[in-house]
Amino acid sequence: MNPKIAIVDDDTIFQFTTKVKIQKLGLASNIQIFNDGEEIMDYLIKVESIECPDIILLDINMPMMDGWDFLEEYKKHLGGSESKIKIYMLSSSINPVDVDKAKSNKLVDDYIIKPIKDEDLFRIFEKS
Amino acid sequence: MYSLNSKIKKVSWLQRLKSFFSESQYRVDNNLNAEFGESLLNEIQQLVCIKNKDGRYVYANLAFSDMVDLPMDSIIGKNDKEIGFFLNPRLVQEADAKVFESGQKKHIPIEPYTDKYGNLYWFQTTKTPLKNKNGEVQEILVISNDITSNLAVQQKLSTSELRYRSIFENNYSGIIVINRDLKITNKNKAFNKLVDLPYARLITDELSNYISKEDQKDLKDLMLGLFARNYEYFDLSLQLNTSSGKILSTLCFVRGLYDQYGNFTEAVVTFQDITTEIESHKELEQSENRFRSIFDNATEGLMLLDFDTKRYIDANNSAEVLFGYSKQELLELRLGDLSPLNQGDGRDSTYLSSDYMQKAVQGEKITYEWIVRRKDGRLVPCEVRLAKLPYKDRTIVRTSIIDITERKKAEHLLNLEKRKLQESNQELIGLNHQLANQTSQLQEFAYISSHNLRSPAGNIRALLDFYNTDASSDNLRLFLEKLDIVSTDLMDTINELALVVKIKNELAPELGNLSLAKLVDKAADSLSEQIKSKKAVITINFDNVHEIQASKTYMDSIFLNLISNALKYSNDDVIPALSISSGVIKDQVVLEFKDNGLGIDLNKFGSKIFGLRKTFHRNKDSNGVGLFITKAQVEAMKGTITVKSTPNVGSTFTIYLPKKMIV
Repeated sequence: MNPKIAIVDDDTIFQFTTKVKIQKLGLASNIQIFNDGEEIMDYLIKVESIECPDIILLDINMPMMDGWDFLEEYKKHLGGSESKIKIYMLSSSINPVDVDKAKSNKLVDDYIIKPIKDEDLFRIFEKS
Repeated sequence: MYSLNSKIKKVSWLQRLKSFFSESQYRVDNNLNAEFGESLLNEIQQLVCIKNKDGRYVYANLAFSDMVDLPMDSIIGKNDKEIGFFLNPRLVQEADAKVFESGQKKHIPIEPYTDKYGNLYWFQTTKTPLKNKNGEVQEILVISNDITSNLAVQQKLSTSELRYRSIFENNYSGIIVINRDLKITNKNKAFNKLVDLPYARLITDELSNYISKEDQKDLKDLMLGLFARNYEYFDLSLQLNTSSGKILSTLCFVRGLYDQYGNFTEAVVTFQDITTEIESHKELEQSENRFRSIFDNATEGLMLLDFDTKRYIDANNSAEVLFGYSKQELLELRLGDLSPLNQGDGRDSTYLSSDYMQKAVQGEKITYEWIVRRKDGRLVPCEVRLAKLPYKDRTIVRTSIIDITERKKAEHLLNLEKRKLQESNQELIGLNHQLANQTSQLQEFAYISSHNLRSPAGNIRALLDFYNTDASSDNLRLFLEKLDIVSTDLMDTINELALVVKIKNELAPELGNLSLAKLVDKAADSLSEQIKSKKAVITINFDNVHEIQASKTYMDSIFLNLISNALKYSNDDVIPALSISSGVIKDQVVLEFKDNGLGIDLNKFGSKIFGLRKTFHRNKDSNGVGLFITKAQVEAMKGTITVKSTPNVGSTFTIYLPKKMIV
């Protein structure tokens, strides 16, 4: 079991540290990085479903297309058959509006407050 | 004609005549002669005859002859039996004999007689002895009066008396009979009851026991007229003091009674107790007076309108004051004369008032506001109430009118106050809204601050974890490299937040007179590198407004931010062109920054454009802070900022500031 994971975040430091952490924990080897929602959306539309990531770690605040807009687009284009992708929202925001909004979205599996911890990653990969 | 002289010889005729007249009611001179006497005897109605000792008639007058229906001559020499008209001739003969024997005159009060037809008559008879010189009774003179009709009258009288007595006794009205001195000679049960006397009949009494001296005097004065028979009756009011101490008001009818000679004998006084009527009349009068007083002295104008004639029939003092007309004048006016042609809302007064009146007549109680026209032409706002009054045969509407000028003024003031209050309220709502906005902004700011600080802090933590798990030299280099980025980011974030806090806290930024052209120049200086490299063109038009009074720090920052954005998000294929202009719209100064850059998809990002840390392009130097700060600065100067944009065509940012900022 080697799930494919996508990190969607404009924060390069987060991209780097999270990727390294996942690799070091041996949770996944197939890790893709996207800088914003638009990038991954373009990718998902383009590729076969077999190449789609199993897990998406999705940031909220991003340029061009933020986490929320991505979810809208995702639902619009791929919300049916591809809904097997587990989406985790990650943000430094502790604003309850964001937390509630994420948790009430059926496409979102969980909302994780940054910085991401090892236990969070174990839990994410256990479920998938 | 029967001759007295020839037939009667033994007794002097003159003597006989004298005897007759001394018995009769006729007064005749002593010197009458026989012939005159005879003719006189034949004229009178009484039956006159003379009988001798043998009971035979020696004389009978014409009346006698008529009664027995025999010629006078044939009567002479006959006795009663032979004439045959007495019911009991024996009794007659016995009576005659007694007169002959005694020589005394005899009076027989009643004597029956039937004529040959069987009719019964009653006579009253006097038998007088006629004596000779020696005093011996020779003949008797019989004079009879026919009292048959008298008896009938008497009979009738006694029936009548009974009838009247019964009426008198059983009458419900108190009746008394008084004499000249006001002594009561008779009174009925009802009178006793009236004056609360025991039922027992006390005839003798005095009217003075029951009436006051004044009333006695009045009564006596009026009685004088009865005595003199100037009039035979009168009426007057008397107050009767009853034996139990009550005072009764009575109406008395007094009728005089007179004897056959027309002399006053007594008076009958009939009492009608009108105490209750007087009381109720008094009460009615009092009630009427009370209502009159209420009507006259009411503070509201009151008028009574006869609906059928459309004329006023009464008006009180307040109505006079209200309309400026005298009561007399008011009563000459017609419905509609007291109103202007139209009411305040333009409706026709006549039509409207007729409508109200009609409703009132149908029993509805109507209250409405009305403008009335006074005699002096002044229009007065009033409140009018209509009510139909119960009135026999007529339709009367009571109209109450109150001058509500003061009330209207107060209402006007109240409305003004209300409006002010509404305005204050609106202002408060605005302030409240602003406050809520600020609170929400503050809350948002708190979350953003926390987010923006947590991100680099989290990154540092993650980098440390990375280095701690594998502290190789390569990793240390990488770690330091990454830490440098994070620390710069952290510093930037802290500086931005500090700036935002400063702007938000600065309630009244320091103002100065600023030339708009100079503001552009200063920003252009700072951005000269970019302008130069992009060959950007900036055009300005500050003809309408060229100088404003504002915070220099803010305006520098705003101009720098907007010009820098125009350059930063320019379209690579087009030479950046930015035009900046000023103008006035209504009470606002308008500053417009129009570029031909990348534009922003407002459908996508419109709600976030001025948010902190919102970026819409992948430029490396876009950090989502500039517009957030610009907006905060504009708002700190009580202004607003809006944006219009089309992707790949350009954006226009417009700033609205209070007009008073123009220098």
